[in-house]
Amino acid sequence: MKKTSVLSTGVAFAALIATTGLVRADEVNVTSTGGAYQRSQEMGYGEAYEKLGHTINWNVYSGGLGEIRTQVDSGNVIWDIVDVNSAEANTGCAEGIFEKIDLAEVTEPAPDGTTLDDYQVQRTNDCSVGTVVYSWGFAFNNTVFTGDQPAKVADYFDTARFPGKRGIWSSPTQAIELALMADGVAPGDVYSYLEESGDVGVDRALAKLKSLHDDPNGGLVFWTGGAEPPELLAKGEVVMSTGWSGRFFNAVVTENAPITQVWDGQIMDFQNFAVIKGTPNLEAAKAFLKFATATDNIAETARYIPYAPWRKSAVDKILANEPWSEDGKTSVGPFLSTAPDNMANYLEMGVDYWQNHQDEVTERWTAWKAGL
Amino acid sequence: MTARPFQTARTWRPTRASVIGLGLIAPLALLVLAFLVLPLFRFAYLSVDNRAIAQVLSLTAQAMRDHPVEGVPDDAVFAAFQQDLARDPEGVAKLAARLNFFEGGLNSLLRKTSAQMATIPPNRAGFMAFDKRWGEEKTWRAIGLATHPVIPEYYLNALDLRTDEPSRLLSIEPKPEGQRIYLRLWARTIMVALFVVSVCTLVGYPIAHFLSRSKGMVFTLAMGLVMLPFWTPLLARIASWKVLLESNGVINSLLVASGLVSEAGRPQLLNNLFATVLVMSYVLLPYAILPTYAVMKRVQPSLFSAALTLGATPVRAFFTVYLPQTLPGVLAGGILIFVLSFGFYLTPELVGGPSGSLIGNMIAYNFSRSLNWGLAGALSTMLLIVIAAAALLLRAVSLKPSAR
Amino acid sequence: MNQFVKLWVIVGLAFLALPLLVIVPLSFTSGHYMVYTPEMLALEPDAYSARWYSEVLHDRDWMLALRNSLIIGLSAAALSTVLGTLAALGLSRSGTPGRNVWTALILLPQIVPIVVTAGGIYSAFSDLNLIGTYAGVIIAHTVLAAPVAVITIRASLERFDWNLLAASSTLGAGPLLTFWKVTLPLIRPAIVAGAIFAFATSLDEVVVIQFIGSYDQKTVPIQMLIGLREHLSPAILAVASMLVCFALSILVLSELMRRRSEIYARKTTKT
Repeated sequence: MKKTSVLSTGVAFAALIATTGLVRADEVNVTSTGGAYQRSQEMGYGEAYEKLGHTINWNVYSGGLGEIRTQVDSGNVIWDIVDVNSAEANTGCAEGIFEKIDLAEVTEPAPDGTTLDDYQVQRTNDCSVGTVVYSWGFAFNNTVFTGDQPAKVADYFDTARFPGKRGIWSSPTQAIELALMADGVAPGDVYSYLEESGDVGVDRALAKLKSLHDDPNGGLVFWTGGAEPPELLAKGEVVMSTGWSGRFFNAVVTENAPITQVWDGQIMDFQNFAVIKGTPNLEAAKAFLKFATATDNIAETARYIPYAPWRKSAVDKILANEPWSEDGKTSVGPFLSTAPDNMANYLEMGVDYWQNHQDEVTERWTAWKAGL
Repeated sequence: MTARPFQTARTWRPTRASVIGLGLIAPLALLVLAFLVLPLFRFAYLSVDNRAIAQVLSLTAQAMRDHPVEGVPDDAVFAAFQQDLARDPEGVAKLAARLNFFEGGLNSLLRKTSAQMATIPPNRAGFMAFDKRWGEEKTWRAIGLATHPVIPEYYLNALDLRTDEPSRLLSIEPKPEGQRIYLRLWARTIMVALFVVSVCTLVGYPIAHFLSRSKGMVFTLAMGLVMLPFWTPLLARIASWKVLLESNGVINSLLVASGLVSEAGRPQLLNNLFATVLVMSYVLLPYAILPTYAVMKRVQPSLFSAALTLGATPVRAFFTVYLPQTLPGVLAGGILIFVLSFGFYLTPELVGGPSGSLIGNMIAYNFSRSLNWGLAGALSTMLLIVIAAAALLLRAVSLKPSAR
Repeated sequence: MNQFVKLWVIVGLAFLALPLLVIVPLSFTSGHYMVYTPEMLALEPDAYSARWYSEVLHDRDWMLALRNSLIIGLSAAALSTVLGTLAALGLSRSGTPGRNVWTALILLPQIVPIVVTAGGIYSAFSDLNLIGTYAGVIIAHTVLAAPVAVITIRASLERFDWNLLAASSTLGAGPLLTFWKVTLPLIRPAIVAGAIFAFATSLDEVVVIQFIGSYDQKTVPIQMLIGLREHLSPAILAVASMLVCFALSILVLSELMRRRSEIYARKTTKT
């Protein structure tokens, strides 16, 4: 190697590093939960926004406020916007790790001019911006169970009728509720029972899950990313799995996966964007939020994943223009968590419960899991 | 008697050669010192140091001393506590995070309380009206703990122990059944490490022997097979094991096709302890082969054949001649593998599932998910102590003359 | 008995080779999942395609990851080679005091568990505002990769004939000139090999960068990790197969370097 070439390569690298290290003016770092859901955001409005000359750096995480707290507390904010569920949005806002956002400022008026009234539900904090409604449900492989098929929440635990391994999220949310509902607690009573019984209720749920895990006809496989459940089901790794509703649909439509979702005992939840406190890109973040939640743009995401937008005008647009799915032939309406047929026996996410008890339940859950 | 008897005897005068030598080493040594050694010491220190947190609670601590009450304290303590929270908003974030490690759920409670402090009256009733957890004994146990400047809590935690009174050794007791995690994980980590060492040794020894006796193309090919996985990035190797081990993966499909297991009876090979041990053994096998091979290369085959001609059976000759000669390589490889496998994290994380996760996974969990740096530091320090002991053993073994 | 040992060796070598052999054909699947389909086993041409390779090569995230891996890997390799060469020279000089201690210190990053190292580096970097910067990742990778360079270069220095240096200085050459004209040419193959190994170490590193990097520093292994956890697709296998080829080329290169340095060693002992 000639020394001049070594030198010039070094200088070139130094220059490259120096320039890439600079904060670009119109750039926003958006962190979401990956898989088909994130694809719906990237395709639904991400690409359109970038065509306008902005840059979006999409990042993936697996939920939880841990990484966000670290960034805020250590002063190293490297994400600007993060995709959080409603409990996380409320907790984070109360803790002051999210920027307070004036909703009117980031709400593009609907075609008929309504703004804040266009949201189906009102946010329960001062920080987050509502995006879509989805469910924590479960699904099964319909080539394994052809005749007698799971239809009720208790069937998730019924290894006599439905033998085989089950997929379950590696965090306690939904698992606790699912176990209690299958153990006979009515959906409407789940959170009040948990609040009143404290550790007893959590232990009851964990015991139920433990017996499923130890059952030779059962067994639990833990998943972390939302893309895993459809994959586990399609490959035959598990016969049933919990998961986020749209992910199953997406695998059916785009990959012909043999998956059927059970609409019973699912937990309806509301997804949000929140801006991390202290981000240097606050204005760029707000501009992105305004664009992403505009009626036409948020409606686009439902082409790729059947999640109902918070905004009524966007839902109306979807239902009026069916078939809305990206394949051009599937109607997404029946797959929305808010479709009347899907709401016979559901549970609304216990935002308050999880806000108050997330850490202590997670602690018990971690100990429980380590002892499996 | 002179105060420093060694002073004159051991005076070291820098020579030109020593200055040049140290100067050459210095840049890298300083880099390692600054970014690895010092942070590790700080890590160990962080896991007992609570001064910054105790500082945040200084008024509360004073009030607690002045108004000693068992369980939930009285109004004076609540008022002092509120002053403490108002005094230092940045300290509150740290306090909240730390209290959460003593009692799950306090992070959220404290952050929420502090953010809405203006609306809460500075007394017991006011706090309890804001959130009933302020009236719980376990909340105040945690706050009481946090007023101590030095806390053994994290080291105790790392061994599933707890105490209410850090200044009294006898108050240390095991944690309640449902909260024990670490003893089981330590035991599992040690068992896995020992098991991986045995697998690697048993599989690696014959391969090393084969390498030391082959030449030319055969040698190049066999050595290539050992070194290729060694240089293939870890994640590529893990991805291929996932493909092999899944329920519908290559191995299970072969088992079903060959009729060894039924379609419904596919064994679970992934996301359990078996997968952790198997993939770790795969990753670490080259570390068993290479040192043993290096020693075997130097062993003279004539001794072994001499034993045979003197009438020893091959088995006897192997155990009395060849094995003792090659043992240093086996031991060096074995201890190296023990040291490395003790700290494994990524492999169990991706193939092990809950039953196959190790201490390294809990360090990562506590560090980046649960943000419990104190506990992560305590676990790391204990891990390093075990590894240092094994490394010293490795040194002792490798300093021995390799062949008699 | 001997037959049994031979069989055992073959099984062991197959164990080493099998996983790498399995992923390469599977990376050419035309399906969506990382599993051999019946069609693939029947060798139907439709079941195979290069779609995942082309997907990787046209994917913005993978290309960003590749660019980052090159920037970070080459910078860390350059730094660790320079620092590692100096340290190896210092460690192999008999006049240097406390060589065992220094060796242990410099090799420490190889022994300390990576997850512990990652935690330590994170806590140091967060005070220095190096989280989420290229500089931070490059420094961290230099710390991790330098021991590999030191080991490689020092091994070649151990075969080195120090009389040559004495000869050079009696001929009137200063230490710098001697280094440039005598030492460097002799250990150059080892330096190149050390640099390659250092680069490979950086390319393989995922735990530390996961702790201290941000989106901007996303490297190939980080993207693979995301893939293994989130966007599960055979694209990962395509990348893994390319990495196997990379490992193969490292092997060939390092073998070439070893032969060259042996030739040098033979030449010097003959003269």
